[in-house]
Amino acid sequence: MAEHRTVLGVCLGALLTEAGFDAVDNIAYETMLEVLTSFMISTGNTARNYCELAGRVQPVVGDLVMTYADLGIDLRGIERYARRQQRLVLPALGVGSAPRPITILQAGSKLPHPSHIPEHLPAFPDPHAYIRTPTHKQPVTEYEALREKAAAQKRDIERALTKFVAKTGDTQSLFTTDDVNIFPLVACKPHPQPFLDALMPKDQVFDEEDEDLELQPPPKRVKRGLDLSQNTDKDSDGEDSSPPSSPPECPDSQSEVGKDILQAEKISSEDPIDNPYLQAVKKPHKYI
Amino acid sequence: MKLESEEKCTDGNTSGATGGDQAESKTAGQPLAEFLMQLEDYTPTIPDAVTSHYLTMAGFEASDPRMVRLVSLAAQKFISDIGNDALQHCKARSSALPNKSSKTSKDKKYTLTMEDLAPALNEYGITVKKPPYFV
Repeated sequence: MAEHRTVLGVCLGALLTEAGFDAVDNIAYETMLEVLTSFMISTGNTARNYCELAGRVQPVVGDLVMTYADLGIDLRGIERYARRQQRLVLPALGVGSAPRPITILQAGSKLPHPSHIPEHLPAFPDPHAYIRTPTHKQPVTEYEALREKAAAQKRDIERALTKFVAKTGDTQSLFTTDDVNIFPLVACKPHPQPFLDALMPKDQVFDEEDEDLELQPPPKRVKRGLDLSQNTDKDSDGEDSSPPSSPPECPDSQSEVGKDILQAEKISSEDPIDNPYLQAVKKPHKYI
Repeated sequence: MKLESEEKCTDGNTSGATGGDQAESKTAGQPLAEFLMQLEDYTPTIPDAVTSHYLTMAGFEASDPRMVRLVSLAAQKFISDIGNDALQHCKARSSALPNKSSKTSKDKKYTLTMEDLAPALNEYGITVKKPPYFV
């Protein structure tokens, strides 16, 4: 928009120089520029009006003649003016090329526009814009591979779980050797009333853990009581005592090393199956 | 087209023309029309693109590039006339100054100021009143 005005300004400067001026005030320059612009626009406007008045769309010389007569502009000496000797012809203003986007960082050639996209729209980006690098390994979608994977996973899970239970829970051995660990089998837990399971079906299994704890021989925990006699009494009581409540009370009163050792021996002698996960919490020794 | 221009000349006669050159103004359209034919090889100072831009802005769709040149030439002449008038004002002003401190008899460097431009524009019917400073 402002480019035309700038060019017009340059032309105005040339005209004023021709007239004999060496310098021009800024205000005077702007004023003259406005005069020039307004001259051309009013010429165009009036000429168009005359043209349309005559029922035409394209203006003719006659319209221009009428326009200048209407605006009161005298063009009698125009021919002489055109042929004046000292006229300045400005160098033809070249069309400036649009600044090309910097192609320093270009890698590869850009794709051309498909036929339905006009050319004046921006070009496609560099070809590296289309590269898709997945950030994770693509999952396998083949049916066979998936089945195989599922089967292998299931097998592994079963093996690992049974191993875990065998190592931490009760085991039975089919062999007569003393080494229990060569082929441990998860021990079968005989239920005192097996028919109850069939008569009372359960769909939630979280009660099993509590059942297991109750079935565990309580003497192990109750042994941490004050006297051995007390322990034997509680032994006979069996499952009704609440094992978890006794250990927190006892260790406070027994702070001697010797008694701890006694208890440890007791544990080892009474119960050969030593399940570290079912042992009571051992408080750290207090060395006096 | 000649008929048309003659008709329109009679209308144009009523405005602008002073006594002596009535004969010329009656047929003002004809020389102009002839002049148009000679415009093909002449390039005015104002480029065609600029002139046609302003004409298009006004709604004047010039089919003939010579008409565009005619308009730009008319504009040039207009401005030159104003400039010449202003120069005369300036010369009159500088010659009226009594000081001879300037190097040559006449001040060779003429600067177009509003003081000279305002009366020049007034003669053409354009009244310009610009404040000397902004408050």
